[in-house]
Amino acid sequence: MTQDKNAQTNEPLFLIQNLEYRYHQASRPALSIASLSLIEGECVALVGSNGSGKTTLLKLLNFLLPAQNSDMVRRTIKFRGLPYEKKTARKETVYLHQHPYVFRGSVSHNVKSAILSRQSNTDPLEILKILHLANKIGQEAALLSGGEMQRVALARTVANGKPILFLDEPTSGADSTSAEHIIEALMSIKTSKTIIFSTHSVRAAEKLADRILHLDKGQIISDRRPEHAEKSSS
Amino acid sequence: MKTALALIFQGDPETWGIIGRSILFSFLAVGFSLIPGIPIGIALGWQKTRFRNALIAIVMALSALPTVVIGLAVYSFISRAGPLGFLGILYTPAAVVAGEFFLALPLVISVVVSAFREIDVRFVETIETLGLPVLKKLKLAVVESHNALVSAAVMAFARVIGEVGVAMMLGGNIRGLTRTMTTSIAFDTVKGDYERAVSLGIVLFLIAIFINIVSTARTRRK
Repeated sequence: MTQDKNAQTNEPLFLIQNLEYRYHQASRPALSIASLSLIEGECVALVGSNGSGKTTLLKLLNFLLPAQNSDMVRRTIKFRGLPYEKKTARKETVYLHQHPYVFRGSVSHNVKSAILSRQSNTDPLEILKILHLANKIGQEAALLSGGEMQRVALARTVANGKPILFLDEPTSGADSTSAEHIIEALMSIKTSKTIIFSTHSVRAAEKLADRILHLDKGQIISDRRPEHAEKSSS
Repeated sequence: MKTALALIFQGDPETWGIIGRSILFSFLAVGFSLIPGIPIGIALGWQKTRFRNALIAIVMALSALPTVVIGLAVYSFISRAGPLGFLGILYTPAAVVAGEFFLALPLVISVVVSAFREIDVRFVETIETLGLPVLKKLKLAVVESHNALVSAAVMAFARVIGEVGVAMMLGGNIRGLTRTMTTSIAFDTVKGDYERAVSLGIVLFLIAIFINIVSTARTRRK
C-alpha cells in the first residue's frame, strides 16, 4: 500500500538536505549531510568507523536526539514529500539500539509487548521462529546470552509492525551463529520493509544491503551498490 | 514489662484491635497513594517539562513536612467550616486514611522520581521508539522498576504507621474507631497506662525491624 503510494508520487521516502548535528560543546558536527535520499523498500547499510555518525543519523531519523543541552541541530528532512515530524516517525519507524535493552520478563513478553494493536496480524511465534528463538519463548529474556538478547530485541522491533526499521549494528555482540541468524532473518523481512542499518561487518553489508553508504567524520564519502546488486543489474 | 508482653501474647482484644486498625489505615493510605503517586512520579522522572525541577522541589519539601502540618491542612478542608465539611468525615477512619494518604503521597512520588531519573536511557528510548500507547508504556515502566515501587511503598508505610499528628488531629483518638498505635501510646502515657503504651511500642519496634529487613533484602536482591 505504502509502496504504491510512493511509486505514484515518485517522492523518495526520505529526502534529507543540509542535515547537521553537533553534540554539546563538540568542536565539529557529528553529522553533516548536504543531500541524501532514501527510497522506500531499500535496504541501506551505513558503514564507517566509530564516531563516523552512523548512530547519530539513525537516531536523528527516529527523533531520539532532541535539540537540547546546547546540542545543535539543523534538519531539513522530508518524508514522502512532506516535512518529517516526530509524530510521523513514531507511526512509521522504529529504532533498535546497538546494545538493546530487553524488558524484564519472558522472551514472549518482550515480543508481545511491542505489538501495537490487538488487530495486528503479527504472529510473534513466526518472528521468533525466523530468529531461531522459538525454543526460548518462555525464558527470562535478561538471562539469555548477548547474541540471543540481540535477537529478542530484533524480534521485538519487527513485531512492532512499523514499515521502516533503523537498526544500529544489529549483529554487534552476537557470535557468528547468532549473527548468521540475524542476517538470515533480515534477508527474509527486507522484502516487506525499508531497512536502514549500521554495521562494521562488510559481509553483512554486502550480503544484505541494496545500497551501502560510507560515512566518515559525519559526512557521506561514498554511496554505492554492493557487489551482488551490481551483478544482478548487469 | 511482663504485663506489656502479656497484652500482646495473650491476645488482649483492645491492644490487637488498635494494632489491626493502625496496620489497616496505613495499608489503605499507602495503597491509595500509589495510584496517583506512581504515574506522577514516572511523569516527573521522565518528562523534561519546563517546571519539572520546581515541581520536584515542592514534592521533596512536602515529603519532609511535619505530620501535624499535613494534619492541619487536611483538617481545614474537612472540618465543619471547611469546603469538604459537608462530607462529615472528621474524626472517622476515613479522615485518618485521607490524612495519611497526603502524608504518603509526596514520599511515594519522590522515591519514584528518583528511581525513574536513574532508569536506563535505552529503556526510555525503546518504549518511545516503539510508539506504544501511554498505558502500555506505564505498565512496562511499572514492571521494569518494581523494586523502586516496592521501596516507595515500604518507605511510605514506615512513615505513615509511625506518625501521630495526622491520626490525632483528624481521627481524634476515639476508642474502637480511630485509635491507632501512636495515638494510643500518647494517650495511655498521659493517663498512666504504661503497660499498653509499652506493648504498642514493642509492636511498632517489631514492625520497624520487619520493614528494615524487607528493605535490606530487596536492596541486596537488586
